[in-house]
Amino acid sequence: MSPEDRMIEIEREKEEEEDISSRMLSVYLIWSVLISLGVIVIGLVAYLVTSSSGYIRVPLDILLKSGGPTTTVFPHYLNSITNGVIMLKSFAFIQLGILLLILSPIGRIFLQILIYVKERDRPFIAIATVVFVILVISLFLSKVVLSFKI
Amino acid sequence: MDLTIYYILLILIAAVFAGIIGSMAGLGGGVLIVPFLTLYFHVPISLAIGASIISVIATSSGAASAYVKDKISNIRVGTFLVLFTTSGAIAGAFLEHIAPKQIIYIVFGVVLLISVIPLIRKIGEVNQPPTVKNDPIAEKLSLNSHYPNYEMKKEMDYNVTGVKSGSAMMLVAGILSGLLGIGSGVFKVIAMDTFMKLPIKVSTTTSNFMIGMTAAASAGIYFFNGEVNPIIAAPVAIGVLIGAVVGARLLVRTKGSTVRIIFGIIIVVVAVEMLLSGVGISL
Repeated sequence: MSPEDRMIEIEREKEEEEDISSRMLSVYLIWSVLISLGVIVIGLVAYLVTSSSGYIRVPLDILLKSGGPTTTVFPHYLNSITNGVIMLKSFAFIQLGILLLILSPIGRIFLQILIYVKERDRPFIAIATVVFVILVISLFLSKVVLSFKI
Repeated sequence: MDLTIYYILLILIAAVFAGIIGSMAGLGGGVLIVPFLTLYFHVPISLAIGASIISVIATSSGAASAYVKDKISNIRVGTFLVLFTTSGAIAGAFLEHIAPKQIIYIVFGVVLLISVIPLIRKIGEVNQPPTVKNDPIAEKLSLNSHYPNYEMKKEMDYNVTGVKSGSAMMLVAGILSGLLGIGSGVFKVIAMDTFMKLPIKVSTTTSNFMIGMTAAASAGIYFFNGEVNPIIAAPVAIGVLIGAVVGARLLVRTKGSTVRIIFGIIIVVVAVEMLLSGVGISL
């Protein structure tokens, strides 16, 4: 095999590798959305059918204005959502689906790290890892944000 | 309970509408759903932002799936720039919790007005002029690539320049995303198209790839602070996604500037209402 052919061969292998990683990312992207939305729909339908959120019942106008760190109208911490899902509370399912949606980009960047490790692409292993760390840190910042509130 | 179903349906319809206009105008649904929820449903703006940012993740991941498979978006450029948009988004979410709410309404109105510009004036080169060379950072990270140009039926090579100024613009885009609960695709496209000289098709699809990760950085903060209300966020996420799919289908059939002008007018009206709300006048 001549050096030129060898170059073409390497180039072709690289293209194929890129093809596979593009397809993996694409499949991950679409399924992460479908699964999270599926869980959200299950929760919403359950709420409409049973007319029970599983949490404190408030009038509609108050429901549409409910929120904030101390609200008990719906769960918004990992343990309260998990408990609610175990007890089949409809709002807990909606929140679980939403949480999955929020977490899905973190899974995506993790997948990218794996792809870059496989391709031995050092600069991008570093870049993707920093993005991953930023996203993970963001999950723990809610309390810090509140302490800044005047 | 009957009234609840009725309200959920109304929010769903508003979200579908926002999704259709958003995708046909190339803006993403978030930019309209926050005004709809605050102005017409009287939802507190923090909850509207919380619901919107969730829908932004759903739509951008859905759309990005197709572009990534077709290898139009530049994942290397996107992943590098996401460093800046995610950092910005966290800063933006902090700002949202500190800033007076009137300021957020006003910034929202201004951002909406800026978003109309690409509708009126077509921006972006379809192909990159051959004079563009990689800048040192782009060279080091080998950000240059190629993409399938369907009109010319061939792979077009392109280089990447202005990485520093593009990154700075991405920081701004991230801050606006976290502050307002929007994808801020317009600003991401400006960064890649105007500063980094990427072909417009690559800029828009790469922006789409980045939006989900950017939105996730602030979404966690809103979610764990209890600002993602399930009864608002669920119909909004489902509705905007349906609207985006419908809008993309309609876009193929309706090619005309009339549609763009109508959408432009709707967005300007909503922008003015947001600005007026910011100074305490409600229509």
